[in-house]
Amino acid sequence: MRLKSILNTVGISAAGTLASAMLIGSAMAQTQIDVILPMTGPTAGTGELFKNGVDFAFSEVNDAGGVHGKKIAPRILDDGGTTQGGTDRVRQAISGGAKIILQGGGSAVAAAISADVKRWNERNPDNPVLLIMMGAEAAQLTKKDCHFYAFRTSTNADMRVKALVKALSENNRLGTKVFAINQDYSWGREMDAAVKENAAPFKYQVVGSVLHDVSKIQDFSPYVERIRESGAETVVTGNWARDLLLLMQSVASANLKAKFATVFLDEKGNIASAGKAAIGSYVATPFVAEAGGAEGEVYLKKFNEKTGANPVSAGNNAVMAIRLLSRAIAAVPEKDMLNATAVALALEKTTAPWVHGEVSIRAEDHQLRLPLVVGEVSTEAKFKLDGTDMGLKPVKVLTAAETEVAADGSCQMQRPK
Amino acid sequence: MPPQEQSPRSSARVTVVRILPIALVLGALIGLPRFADMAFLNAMVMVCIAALYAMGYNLLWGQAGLISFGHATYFAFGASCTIMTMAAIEGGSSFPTPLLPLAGGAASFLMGLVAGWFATIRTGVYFAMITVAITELVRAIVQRWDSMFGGEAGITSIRMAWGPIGFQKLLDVYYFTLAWTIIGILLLWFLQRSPLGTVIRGIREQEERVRFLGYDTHALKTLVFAISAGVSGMAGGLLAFTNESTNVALYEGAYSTTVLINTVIGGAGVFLGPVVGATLTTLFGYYVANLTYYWLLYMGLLFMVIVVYAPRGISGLGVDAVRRLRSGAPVRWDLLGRFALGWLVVTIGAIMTIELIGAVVQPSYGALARSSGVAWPPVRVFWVSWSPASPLTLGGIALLFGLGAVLLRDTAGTASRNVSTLADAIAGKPGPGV
Amino acid sequence: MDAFLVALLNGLVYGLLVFMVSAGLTLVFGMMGVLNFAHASFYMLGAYAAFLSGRYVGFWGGLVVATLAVGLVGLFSERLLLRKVRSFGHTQELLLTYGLFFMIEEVVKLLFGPTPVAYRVPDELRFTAFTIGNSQFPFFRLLMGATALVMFFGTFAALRFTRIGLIVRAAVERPQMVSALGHNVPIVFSGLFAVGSALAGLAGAVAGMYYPTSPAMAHELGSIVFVVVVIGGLGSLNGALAASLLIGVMTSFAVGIESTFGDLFRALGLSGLALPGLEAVQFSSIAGVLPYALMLFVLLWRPAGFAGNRA
Repeated sequence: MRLKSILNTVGISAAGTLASAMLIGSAMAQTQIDVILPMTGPTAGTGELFKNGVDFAFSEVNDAGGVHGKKIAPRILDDGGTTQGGTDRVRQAISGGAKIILQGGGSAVAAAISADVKRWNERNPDNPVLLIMMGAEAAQLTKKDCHFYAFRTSTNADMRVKALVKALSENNRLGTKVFAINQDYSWGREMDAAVKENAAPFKYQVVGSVLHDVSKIQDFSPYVERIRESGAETVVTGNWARDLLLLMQSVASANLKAKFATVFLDEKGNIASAGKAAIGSYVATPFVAEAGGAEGEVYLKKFNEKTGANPVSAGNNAVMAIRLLSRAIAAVPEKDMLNATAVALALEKTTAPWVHGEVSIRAEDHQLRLPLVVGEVSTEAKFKLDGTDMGLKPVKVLTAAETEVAADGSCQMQRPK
Repeated sequence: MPPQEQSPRSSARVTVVRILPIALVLGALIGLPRFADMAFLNAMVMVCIAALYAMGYNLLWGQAGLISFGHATYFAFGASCTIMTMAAIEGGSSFPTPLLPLAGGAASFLMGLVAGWFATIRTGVYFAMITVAITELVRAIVQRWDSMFGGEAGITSIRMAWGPIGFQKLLDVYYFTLAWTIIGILLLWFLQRSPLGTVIRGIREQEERVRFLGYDTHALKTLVFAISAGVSGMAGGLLAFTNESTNVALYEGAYSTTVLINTVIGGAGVFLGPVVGATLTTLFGYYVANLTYYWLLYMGLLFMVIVVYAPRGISGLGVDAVRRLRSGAPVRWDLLGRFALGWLVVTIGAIMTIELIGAVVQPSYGALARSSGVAWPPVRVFWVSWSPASPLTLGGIALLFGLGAVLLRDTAGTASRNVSTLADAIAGKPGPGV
Repeated sequence: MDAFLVALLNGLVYGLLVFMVSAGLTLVFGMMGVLNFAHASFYMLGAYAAFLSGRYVGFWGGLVVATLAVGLVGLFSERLLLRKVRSFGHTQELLLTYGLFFMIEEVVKLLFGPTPVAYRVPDELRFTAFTIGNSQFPFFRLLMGATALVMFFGTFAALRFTRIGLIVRAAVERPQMVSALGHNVPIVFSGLFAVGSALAGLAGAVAGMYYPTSPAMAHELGSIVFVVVVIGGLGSLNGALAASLLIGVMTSFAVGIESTFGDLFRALGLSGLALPGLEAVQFSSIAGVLPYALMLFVLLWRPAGFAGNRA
């Protein structure tokens, strides 16, 4: 008797939800866009940042009535953080009819996906696919490996280093002795080169540079001793995750006075994990709430309400990508809203609003132009991060023109006739 | 691992029984592209590659009894050398495109000769640790040698046409991969049947005796290692051919892990066991990854269940079941039904638990709770919305697990006897476990 | 000279940390012949347990809770899982611990997410212990080293001077004989497994404050501890200590070397063999793989390890 009534309750509530779900489903005309993210595997933390940005940005678009009267629903595909996963997901997406693919995550996966999309487009010129890489920072993606259907809505090593040293030297915080410590793979080597290139224009001396094994170093103390011996005042590093945290721990516990200039310090968990060791470090990042005034505060609040997380680091690049994309789609006729060529041409001319100024795409190599904020980790920051008493205190907001590094002409893309 | 089934069979009927299923599967594989979309065809290409890789890997395990924890090196090296050859063809070399996987296979074979000579000096855990050490050393060099291996961005090339075959469509790639996978598996089959195969199994069981018979066991083990590496390299070559790119990430541990898991799940003791495992896990990863973010956890659970309850893998279960059926033991349908139902309810219970926990701990769930004003907003699992904290949901999950525990208990009802394997269920015997 | 001393000290402290995790592993390995792949996962669980409990019982209490909790997890893993597959041989046991390693990481990801949690050195422990030249040596690193030393002498004394230690040592050597003498060998095994896991838990609780406490924690330390056990020799605490210290010091000094592969080729008179692109690679950038090279060398030259007496 009792069991029966329980079963009845379950059945009714199940049927009810199913019905309501179907109702909602039929009420909106939807367009699906595939988003390839590392939701599992070693870079799942980055995937989470992107997913927050994607969820927020699409809800923003849909709340404003969608594009051409249609809601856009993201479908997240998990690449597991591997190049093979990325390749498989691209084929799944294309097979499912995707014309526009968003990708978030590391450069290696982005490079694999970009190459796949390029080959697909060469073999199927009548049915091209558009790719937006939301977070890959490797320089080659908009240089040698660029192609017409690939866009990158994040920075690269040159832009980050330029923003860091410019902001710090203009505020007399850089000093004249700079040490570069980076991971020994393409990204780290690009950071290393960028630190050396900027020495002359920003009048500092590179007193030492180190490239170390990625995610294998257990103890950075020996490197810290090298930094100490060099007498560096600022240490520039593109390290992320564990290599960044351990480096900062070693420096803090050795009582070294050098300040850190970083790229990925504001990713989730870093400041909480580093604790006091993070104080005084700088980061060049797309968003610092305090620097954005009222607008920054509103964005922070809305983002938080939707995702339960702060808009940090790469999550913001996802928002920029989707704001640009939705405006580009709105700019083409409705029948072309999923025409990759039309949308790509529109993207080249689109600008989108951002808290710290406008963002746009450089037609020459499809690199994003964006403002960056250099912030300092401080307990005096207005908005705290990671549930700690620390946050980012803005040092300087750099406009898109200030962060831009001119293309070197190595990008030779074949434009559609 | 238990030894291979080697009893000679002569009757024609047995041959038909053995050949027929293989012919059916082959027919299905050849006819598949008529019904498959691009995504599924790609998945099947990946299945072929994973299967060939696992088969090559299992030559070492199933035949020689050596478990490698670093086979990714040979898989990846095969891929690298194949892509370099492809680039050479692109640059005008006359190497015939259809023989590309052989380039990878040969390169890995040579590398396997060197690595294998060192590794097979030891056995057991020490052998495994040497394979790990070699993998780490190779990885460290390859990841720094950008001008050779292309670094993080990898090397890309393009498939060049050969005679009438364009190799541009995925369809061509599918048949190409399938053909080479079958060639590779046949090669391993004949090797296993050859006198060399017998000697290798002899080394696994009684190395001393084989040595006293006058064989140089170290040289033989090195040869087996190299052949295993070579077949893995061929699989890597097929991957490079399919993707038209390679990446230094291939040299990382994940690719050593996957092949091990495939072999365990499929069963190392049955010739085609690794193929079963590779098929299952590849398709699982390919499709389930888009349904749930916890697919690796499910994979881990499956692995654990297999290790504990089906130590000879899925194919081992099948072989046992067939043998017991042949021996004339009556089928205990009641036990079989309980077995199936028991595992089904436990699986559903586990999925419910994991999905609900996974949904509730997300920061966005907290945000939803705050914005909607509901303490426990509903979560959708199995197309139904559940309130995660309601007694109905929690009680339902507890009920599923309780039911499973009751169903999987033997009729005798003693605590130590569980109906654990399919074969046990068929034969009505308690499991070997406890 | 100062720089040398600092590098030496850093190397020793890191070596001691590695030893903390390896101690339990080598005992279990020596006794059961099982290389427990999940051992590093127990180390990670220790960090998470201390992080969770530390909020309620404080830093020192957290260490105790982590040690006990992980010991229990180890006990259950042995009795409920490992024991089930023992009859199928060492391979199956090895695979089971491999599966456990995989599972624990995924379960931690499920519960705590993929990013590091805020488990870190308490502020009251952040001070300088002593100064060498210009370098200040932090107290916390000293504490990590001291914990390891206490662990070493404690375990050593327990094995050498107590009755249980005697039985354990005997059971490692001749399990059947010990069983015939009326001792319950399975219980000794379970107990040892639990103690080994608890030691890993304690190591995790201490190290997790310094290293990021994230689901990748087990993976990051994972293979180094196997290297230590193999180099040190099966079941030998002394060997594990020596191997850990050697690896620690070696890695610490390797980082300071600025030579490249090109220099090596030239020194060997092989400049003709110049491999394009590999010449400019610094040795310091591959410091992380030195332990593996050492392990390869030891395995080929003396498979019983530094202090082991059987292979």
